[in-house]
This record gives sequence, C-alpha cells and structure tokens, in this order.
Amino acid sequence: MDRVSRELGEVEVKDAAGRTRRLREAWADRTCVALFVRQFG
Amino acid sequence: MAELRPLLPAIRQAGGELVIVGTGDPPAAEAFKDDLGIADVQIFTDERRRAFELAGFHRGIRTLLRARAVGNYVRAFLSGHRPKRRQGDAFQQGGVLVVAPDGTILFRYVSRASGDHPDPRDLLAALAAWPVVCTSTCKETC
Repeated sequence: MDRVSRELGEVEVKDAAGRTRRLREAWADRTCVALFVRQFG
Repeated sequence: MAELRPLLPAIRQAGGELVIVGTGDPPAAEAFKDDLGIADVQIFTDERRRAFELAGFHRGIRTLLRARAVGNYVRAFLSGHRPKRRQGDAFQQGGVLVVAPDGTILFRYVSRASGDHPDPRDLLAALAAWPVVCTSTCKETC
C-alpha cells in the first residue's frame, strides 16, 4: 500500500481556534478518516 | 459531509477518527462544526490548498460544470439540503484519505465533481481491514 508523502504530512494547517498544526497530527494517534471538503457550508 | 455524519459511530468503533479539512478560514471552520453538530470532530483549514494539491484532489471550473455535478446538486436539493453561505474555494474539489498511524494510505477517493462522494461501505471496509492495536496495558490486538 502507498504511504502519505512526508511533504503532505508536514503541510501546515490551522485548527478552528486558529492555531497552526501539521496535517500529520491527524493520524498520529489513530487511523484517520480525513475528509477534504470543497467548502465550509 | 451530511452523508458521512451517521457513519461517525462506525468509524470510531473501527478504531478510526474523523478529521475534516477545508479551505475556509478558522471562524468558518468553527461555524461549520456548529452547523453540523459535530463539536467533537477535529477540523483543519488549509487556506493555501497545499494539502489538497499534494493529495491529488481536482480543482477547476470544469469540475463544477459536469452533468454529474448538476445532478448531484439537484439530488441534494430534492432531499432537503439547502446550501448556506459558503466559505472556501468554490473551484476546489475534495476527497477522502484514510491514513493509518504509520502513514499507510488505506483508502483514497478523489471527488470528480460537486457531490461526488465515496461509498461509505468501501470506506468502512478499509478501516476494518486494518488491525487496531490496543494501547492500553493489555497490549492485545483489539
């Protein structure tokens, strides 16, 4: 199976409070269903 | 998202967790969570769309003009969905990645048009196929 690229894991995103996070934090502790939505709405 | 919300218990029962990634700003992300009643779901914003690009998700006006997109919109409307004020990139399509803690991609779905979602059964099957290692003191495979 493929693995996520290091580059994707290192992408900086923000949480709802505006704090900067790394995307890899989403799957650091448990399997993550990452739903990428086109828009908030 | 509305289609996946009922799956949240099944995702968690399979040892997974739902995380939403969008392209709006943090206040819009917070409002989105409130609208959907998913206060316990983590949500990230990727305003530069870098993660979308690296994940290979489509972007462009043609993704909005496909007959499939129009059909999906009509179907959603007829089922009661009424779009609210939107926040984010209208030309960006989404998708789903199911990623194990070691970085293995268990499932990937690239939306080709608005309203194009994966079959939830495929998503749950991918989750179920991955062993959940219990992190409590029993050290057994759950």
